[in-house]
Amino acid sequence: MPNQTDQLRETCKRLLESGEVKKVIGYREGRAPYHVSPHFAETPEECDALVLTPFCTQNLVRYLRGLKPEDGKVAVVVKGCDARAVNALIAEHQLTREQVYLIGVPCQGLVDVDKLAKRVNLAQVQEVRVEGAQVVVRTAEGEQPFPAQDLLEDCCLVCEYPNPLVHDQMLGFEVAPRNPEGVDAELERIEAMSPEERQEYFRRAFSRCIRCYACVRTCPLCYCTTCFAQQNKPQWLPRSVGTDENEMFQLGRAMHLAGRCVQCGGCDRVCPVNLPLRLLNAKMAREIREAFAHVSGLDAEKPPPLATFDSQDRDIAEGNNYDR
Amino acid sequence: MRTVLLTKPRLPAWLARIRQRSRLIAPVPDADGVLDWREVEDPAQVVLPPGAPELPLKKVFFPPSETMLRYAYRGDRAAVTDTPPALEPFVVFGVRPCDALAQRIADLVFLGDLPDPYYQARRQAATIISVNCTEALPECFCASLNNALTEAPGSDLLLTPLNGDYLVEALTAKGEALLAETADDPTAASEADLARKAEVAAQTAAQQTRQIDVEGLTELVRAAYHDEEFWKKQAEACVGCGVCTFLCPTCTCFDVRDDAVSGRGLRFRCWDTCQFADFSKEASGHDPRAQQWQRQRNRICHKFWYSVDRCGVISCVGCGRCLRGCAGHSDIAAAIENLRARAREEKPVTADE
Ligand code: SF4
Ligand code: SF4
Ligand code: SF4
Repeated sequence: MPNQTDQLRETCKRLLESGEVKKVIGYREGRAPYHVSPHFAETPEECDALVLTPFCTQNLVRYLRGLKPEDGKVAVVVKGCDARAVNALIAEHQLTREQVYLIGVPCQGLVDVDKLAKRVNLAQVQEVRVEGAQVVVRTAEGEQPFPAQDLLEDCCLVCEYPNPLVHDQMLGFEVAPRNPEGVDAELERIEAMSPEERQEYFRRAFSRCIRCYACVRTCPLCYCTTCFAQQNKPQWLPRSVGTDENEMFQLGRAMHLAGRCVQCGGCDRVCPVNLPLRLLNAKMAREIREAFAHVSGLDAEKPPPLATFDSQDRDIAEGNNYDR
Repeated sequence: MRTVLLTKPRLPAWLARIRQRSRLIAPVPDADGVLDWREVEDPAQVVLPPGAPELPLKKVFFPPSETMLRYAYRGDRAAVTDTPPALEPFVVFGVRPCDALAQRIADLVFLGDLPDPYYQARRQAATIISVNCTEALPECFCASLNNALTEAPGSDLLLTPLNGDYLVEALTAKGEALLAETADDPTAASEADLARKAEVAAQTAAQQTRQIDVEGLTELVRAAYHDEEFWKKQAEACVGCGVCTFLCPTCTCFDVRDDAVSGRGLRFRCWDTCQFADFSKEASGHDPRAQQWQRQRNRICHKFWYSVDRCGVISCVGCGRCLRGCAGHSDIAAAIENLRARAREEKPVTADE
């Protein structure tokens, strides 16, 4: 049986050769196995560089930004979270389903390079595979298994939707979600803190932000041409870097992503100073789920609750004040 | 200049003596374990990971944002108060050789014909103690670019780990003075120790798998300037954030802005980058670098061409931070290889191989 990577390359070659798509967006390996970059193939030959590894971290849906109908169809490799981003963008009229050919990859989870570096010498790593409850790391000395719990990215450990919910083709078989019940121990730990402790935790994190905007620029849902935090006229937020300004920036971003973030972990992963951005967005997602029974990216027909107005809304119709 | 040996167990006591004398800054983790250049309370807090720490040394001299002056209008006259830092001498410990060299390169911008008083005050107040690398990261490539590992230019003192000891070399008068005042009965180093140091440097260099060939590099970059397709391919995965330039120890761009309410306010500067969309936008609305590929081209051209023309040096020290931090893992060493491949007219198949 051909492996997933061969299957991927064949599929992409066929799509380009038949002219069904103009371009394929996938992943290719860089100098080290854990340096995987987005790969943009426009010819069948370029498809030979495509790979699928547990380091295929980028949410490639982000690279569809600015795609115009006349650009033709583009094929994109999507994991569970990435496919949700496609749905979310369609629901917000940023993309149409016809513009993309989705190559779905059931995802066993991504390996967190920082966690890996704590356990093995990165320079020695030759290959890493996720096999259910284990992550197998191969070095020159042989293979070593680790519990998946220790090496996977936090967002993958709490993932409820590892199988692409929308796709034109699936590579391989569906996998069992790691977290079908939606438990998030880290989030619960933060929720259980006293307000003072929580403030201290987040203020310390905000104080580290250098305002590089990598979080914004990596996010598939942050598609504003100019982020409010970078806008000049009017200037909503000073460009100076300080705990207060950084806090306003991050809380503003969390609000803008409430009910929209698909928890791909992109912002959290790319932040050079480890702000717990995943937790902020997971908290907002939880609030929206409880208040509006909405989970971003499950349904391409459903716009995010904070972007809709319904005069029949229960709170409005009954004259309720929404206070809790 | 003095060259002495310091046994490893005596390092904390030495740092403690330095701290009694002045402020001591080094890579110190916060409660979440994130390293930054912080004030050392206790030498045991200092953490020196392999390779350059995530945040560059430049942050100590050129903070991400700083107030330059304050003003208040009375009628149509403004009272202005300049706020350059008044600093007591301080010591920075745990600097990697690439960062020390990078600071020298940043000096060419900040301390040229018109010295920047804010930066200058901090530079003059600081004594830099570098600690040589014994372990290169897969992203490091300083050895093919410069003499940081052997000579550590920009350092006042250089420590090189030699098995159980540190070889301590005073490289400047400042370093010599600090050593004389703080070292507690050190042993003089021998020729054999210096030979061992050269071995350590050579071993670290040998661990570096990424190399770039600097021969004729500026000419290569210049020749590729108008090859739009080449740069577009290079920049395909770039999302246009500030990571590569903010983390780069030689990038020095900043923005100057005012924060004012009803006639009183302050003027500050903050890091800025050629990668941001509004960086080169002109008042007319025209942007000479309107596309992200043009901004990436600017970054590479600046490092290997404009810097060489203007300051006589390549402004990349090979610390690898831009690759480590990049969302798309855009590899500057690979970009150079691609330029060579282009020159050989073997069109590279993918952006970074
Ligand atoms: S990626 Fe991190 S440091 Fe950069 S702006 Fe976002 S939160 Fe701040
Ligand atoms: S090269 Fe990477 S780090 Fe630099 S702006 Fe582009 S995405 Fe950001
Ligand atoms: S360009 Fe990259 S490798 Fe070179 S000095 Fe800057 S951050 Fe380091």
